[in-house]
Amino acid sequence: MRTTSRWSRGRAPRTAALAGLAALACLAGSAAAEPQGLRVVYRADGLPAGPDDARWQELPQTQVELSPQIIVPPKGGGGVASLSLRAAHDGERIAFLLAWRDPTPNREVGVASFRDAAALGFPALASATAPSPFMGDADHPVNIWQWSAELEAEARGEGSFATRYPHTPGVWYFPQDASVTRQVRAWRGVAPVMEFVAHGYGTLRPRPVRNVLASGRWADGTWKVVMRRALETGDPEDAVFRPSEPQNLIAAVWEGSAGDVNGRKSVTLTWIPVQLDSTVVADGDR
Amino acid sequence: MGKVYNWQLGREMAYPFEEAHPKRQVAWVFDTNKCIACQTCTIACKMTWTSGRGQEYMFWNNVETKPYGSYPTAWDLAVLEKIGPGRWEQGVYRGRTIFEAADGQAERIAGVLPKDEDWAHPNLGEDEITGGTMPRGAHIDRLPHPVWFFYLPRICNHCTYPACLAACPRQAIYKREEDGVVLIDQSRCRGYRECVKACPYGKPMFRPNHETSEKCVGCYPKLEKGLQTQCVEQCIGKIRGQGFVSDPRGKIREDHPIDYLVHVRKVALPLYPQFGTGPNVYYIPPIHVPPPYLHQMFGPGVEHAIETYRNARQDETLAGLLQLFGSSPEIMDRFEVKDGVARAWDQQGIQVAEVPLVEPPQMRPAYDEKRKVYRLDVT
Repeated sequence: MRTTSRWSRGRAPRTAALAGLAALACLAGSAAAEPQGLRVVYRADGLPAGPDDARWQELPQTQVELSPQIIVPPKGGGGVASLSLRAAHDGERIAFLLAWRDPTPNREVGVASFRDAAALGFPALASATAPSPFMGDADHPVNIWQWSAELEAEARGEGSFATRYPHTPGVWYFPQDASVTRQVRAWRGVAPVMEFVAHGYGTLRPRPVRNVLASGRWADGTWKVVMRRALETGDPEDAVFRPSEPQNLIAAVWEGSAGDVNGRKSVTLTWIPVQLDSTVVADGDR
Repeated sequence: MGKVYNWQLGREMAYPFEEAHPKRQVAWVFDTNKCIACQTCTIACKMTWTSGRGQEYMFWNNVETKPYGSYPTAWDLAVLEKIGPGRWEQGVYRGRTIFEAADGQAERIAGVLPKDEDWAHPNLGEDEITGGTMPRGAHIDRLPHPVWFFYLPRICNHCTYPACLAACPRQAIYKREEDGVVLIDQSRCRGYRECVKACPYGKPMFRPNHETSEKCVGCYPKLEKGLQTQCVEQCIGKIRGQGFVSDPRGKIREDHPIDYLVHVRKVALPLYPQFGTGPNVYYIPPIHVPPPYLHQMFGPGVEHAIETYRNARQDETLAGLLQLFGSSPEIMDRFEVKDGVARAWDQQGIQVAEVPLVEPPQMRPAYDEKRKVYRLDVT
């Protein structure tokens, strides 16, 4: 089994900005360990399917440390300290498995109930300078994929809205109300994953595309979420993945039972280097 | 944190943004003495704006009984407890606003997020009395009443310094330049509920099936046509007036209905001014309620307001202006009371209301010759 030790420091992209952020990570009280890279293994025989696919276990795991978000209010999070990442590509598509400990699955969104969620972010544009790892900056958009447990439940037909807010017999709604709700849901998203572009904190913009597929499963105190997308979509706001070329990611996890939502989240403080296996090399490696 | 001047507190206060004001500020005056909690305003609002799935318990306008009623449950007590005690010294509030009581780290505003069930009892405490019991044959013959309750109609205050706006991490909430109406941009809202938590009046509301927050829109389509909001127009008790209020540091108009009540006569007071948001719904306090309770709710001007209101009978201008409430669907921009008649004009200078202070008595004969019947009612 391959391990992340293959990732030498020299292969991870380095910028002055990253050094500064490592210092910030120190200030934040988090371990200022060098970001460990994530290797995206080339699997010519196809990608693991759902989160329970046993083939994920054959892939090297990268454990990423998460810290509370302390840059902008509302600050918070920190309930999830560590996120496990595995990834593979088949020359056409890339898939990530995110796994983290969470004793309480939260699949419901109510006035004061919050759902579990996780997100990955990638620089949307190839650039010599690393964007800010805090969801990008004005010149460097970040492409974000966010999976959430309530959208997962809804997509599976297990949403709790109808039971939590039952339709009282005799209460009549205007006929156009249902179509308004459908419209809102259409741009808010009904798939378990939503795609965004951001230029820094507070600028998250949902994108009306469905390029990413996702599915999540909670069992034995652990969420496992798979997100999958084509390596290249041709969409200028989508991150590009190319075999042999370095990419980077940031990650965030929301713990619903702790009231995590928006800025209240556990986040990576630096970019995690991502390296896709070459389709040729990895093939011979096999 | 910026520094802004809040005239309702008589001092500068901390606010996350620099001071900025719209061209004019929408405002309401509610006369609590006339409110009978018929909830016509509530239903007018609900039928207009919140009749959809997911909005069942959403009342942008509600009428609650004080002291025991509240919607969402204990909205005011929760915030009062959070900001702690404060006192007024010669019209200046010496205490912490919700902006000043925030820890400044995790939150910008000292807020409380109501729970699902807190929105489920809009009638909680309705008509509950306080101060003692009313045994059979009991008779109240003095003011203030020893046993009392009163009705408090509430909408969004379209605050001068909105907490909801300051709390939104996405800047999805904005205050309109043209009229000061505070709106949530539904296309930017991501349903984080920061506004629901931050608003000390509990007026932004979460719609779970849309996963966005919604709030009173000040009936802005009517406002843009020079019309008063649904809750004002439909009020059968004629307790409400709507218009625009001036900043007292600038020019106050004596012939303007809202300015006259708020600034000239100071008979209408902001609700919980100590929260610091500069609410723009002004209340004429209930004359039968003991002032200590009202001090906390409406600030130090309560005695003056009650005294002025009680003397309205000898005060033709004030009495006439109060008569104009509910006399026109149009927003009244200027009023005049002369020779026992109150008149009002809209912003174009077109007369929109004319009301006599005393209705001339009409007497009809006791016997109706045409129908050959006796009348029960001859006046």
